[in-house]
Amino acid sequence: MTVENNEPIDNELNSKFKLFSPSRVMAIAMNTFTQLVRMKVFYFLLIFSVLIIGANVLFLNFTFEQELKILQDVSFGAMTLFASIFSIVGTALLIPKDIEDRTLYSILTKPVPRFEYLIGKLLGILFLVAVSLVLMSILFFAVLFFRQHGILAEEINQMRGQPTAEQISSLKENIFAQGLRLELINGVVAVFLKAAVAAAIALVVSTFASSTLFTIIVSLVIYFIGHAQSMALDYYFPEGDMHGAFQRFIAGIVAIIFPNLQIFNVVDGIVSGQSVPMSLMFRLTGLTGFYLFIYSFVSWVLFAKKEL
Amino acid sequence: MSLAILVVFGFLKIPFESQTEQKLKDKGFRDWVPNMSAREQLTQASFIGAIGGFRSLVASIYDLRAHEAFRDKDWGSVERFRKVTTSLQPRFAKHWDLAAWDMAWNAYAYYRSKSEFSDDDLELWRIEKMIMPSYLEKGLSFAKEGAKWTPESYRLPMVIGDIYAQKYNNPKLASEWYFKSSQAKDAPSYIYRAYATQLAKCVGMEEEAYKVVSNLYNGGKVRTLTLRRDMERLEAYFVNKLVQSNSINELKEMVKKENSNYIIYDAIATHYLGEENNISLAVNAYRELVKNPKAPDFYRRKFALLIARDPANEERAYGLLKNMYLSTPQIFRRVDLIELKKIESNLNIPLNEKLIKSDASR
Repeated sequence: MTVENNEPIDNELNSKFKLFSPSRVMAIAMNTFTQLVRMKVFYFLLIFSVLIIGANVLFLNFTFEQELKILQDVSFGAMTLFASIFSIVGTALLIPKDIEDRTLYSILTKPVPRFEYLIGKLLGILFLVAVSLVLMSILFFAVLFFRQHGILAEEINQMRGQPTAEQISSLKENIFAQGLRLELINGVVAVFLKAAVAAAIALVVSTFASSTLFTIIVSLVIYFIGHAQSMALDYYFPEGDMHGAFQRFIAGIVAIIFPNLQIFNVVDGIVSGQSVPMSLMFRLTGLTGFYLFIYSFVSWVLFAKKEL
Repeated sequence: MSLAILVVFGFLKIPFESQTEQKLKDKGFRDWVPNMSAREQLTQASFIGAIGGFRSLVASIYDLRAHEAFRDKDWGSVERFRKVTTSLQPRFAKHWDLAAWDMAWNAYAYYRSKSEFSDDDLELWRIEKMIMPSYLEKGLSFAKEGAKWTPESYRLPMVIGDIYAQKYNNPKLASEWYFKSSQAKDAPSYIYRAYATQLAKCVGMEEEAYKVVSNLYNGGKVRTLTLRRDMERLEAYFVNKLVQSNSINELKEMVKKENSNYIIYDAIATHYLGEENNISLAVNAYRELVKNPKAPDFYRRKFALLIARDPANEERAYGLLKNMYLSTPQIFRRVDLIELKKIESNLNIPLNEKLIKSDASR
């Protein structure tokens, strides 16, 4: 076969090649997901189960409001913690591991653009976080469902005499208002959105980091600054009262570069019984999409130039 | 290049973030401010946890610490931890409720029992005049602050009503707060009854109280013992007022005009019993009264007890009273039970058939 004879084949291949292929991205995402599952990450579910069952059993001497609140606090706390750890550590591990296993080279020598590889990796992580949160939510909601019914039965037993239907219905309404309700799903979604932003941050860091440890530490620091930035700005510069040019500059840098992760903290209010309007949830989702886009883009810019 | 992208997009995101932050503030999701006083109240780990999205969890941990301090009777720590829980999650009504309860009931009761065992006059004075009132004030202050944060909930106004009713013995303020509480969407029906009870205790507000109490008595689903007693007491008040301000002839004229007003019959009967001591005329007045279907059932008891005053009718009256006692024992007050016991004793009712077997006055 001569060189001239190869030209039509190359042209044919080039014409078939798409700049962006969702199927290629999905293949990488699913591969990432499988890779992480093989790391036995789902063992955390055992810890989560022990935590929420423990929270359910240990606080029986409290009022039902306290008991249900503690159960929700522990569950949401654990969900936030696990989701954030998965996002940051999982993302930090992926690229170095692919380099170490030389998987990265075999992927990039194929007609896979680098940004597809990055998006695939990010989607794989997000898929893992989503599956974890769904599993944790099922466990959490099941425990909450059984506990609220248990509390109702206990409260009825403790009532003097035969309770009237009105009393039972009022009690049920009070208990269930603190228990399993649709609003909790918004809390889980908010936890996922924050974890998604954390994963995107870790992706940016991992593209220029020299080690996994560095990625994890830097990502955690950014994660913390992201939580504290709006409060720090409010605290140091109340009502926009900037004290000097330098302070103004620092405050500006912090506000511009770091994401405001505090806006995803709606769980505290949800547990208190407040409701998040759907418009606000859409706003948070939109903002997450915006962050993911920016950080993926920056990751690609950094990763595109990276010598492998 | 990357930094430039971050800066450009950073400028774009700021207005969107600020708007979202403002919306969260408007919806009450940004009530806790991590200022210096919050930092002093919390440990470093808790402060970081609260900033890092675990504010509710940190509040629960401090709730547990407050419970622990309560078990140790360390009221200073209880107050401190309750302040933390309420400042971390001010819209969770139960935090305020527990804080008010710990101060106005638990700490107060602890010092009251301590004062009972104190032989030192100075110590006793200090406890009764300084410590106990200060814990009541603290409880009230927690509850009032909580009511501001949770205006949609019945709970804190009810707690304030409880403190005024049970600790300050101030029925006027108690009734005002119970009424406020009863107007909340989630208010259980007993709060409106508590409002009626406190209102019935307010001197000079009998007419307003009677409107509320009689509405509850005639239209409410639950006719509690307190409601029955309040109704009887308020009607007795109006009867006395009628008797004091009208002669018997004026009362008779009134009853002709307002035949359905059974209270006038009671006033007539009271007049006959008071000035003339004429039981038969009083019985006649009551006979007319009990014909009125609107008359509360305690008038039947009064009627039967009046009949029993005549020894010739005592046995017949006892039969009526017995039936009433077996069907609606709630209409018998302690004083009526003493009367019933006397009747049983006069009629030599065998012990096993007696309605009142023990000392009714106890």
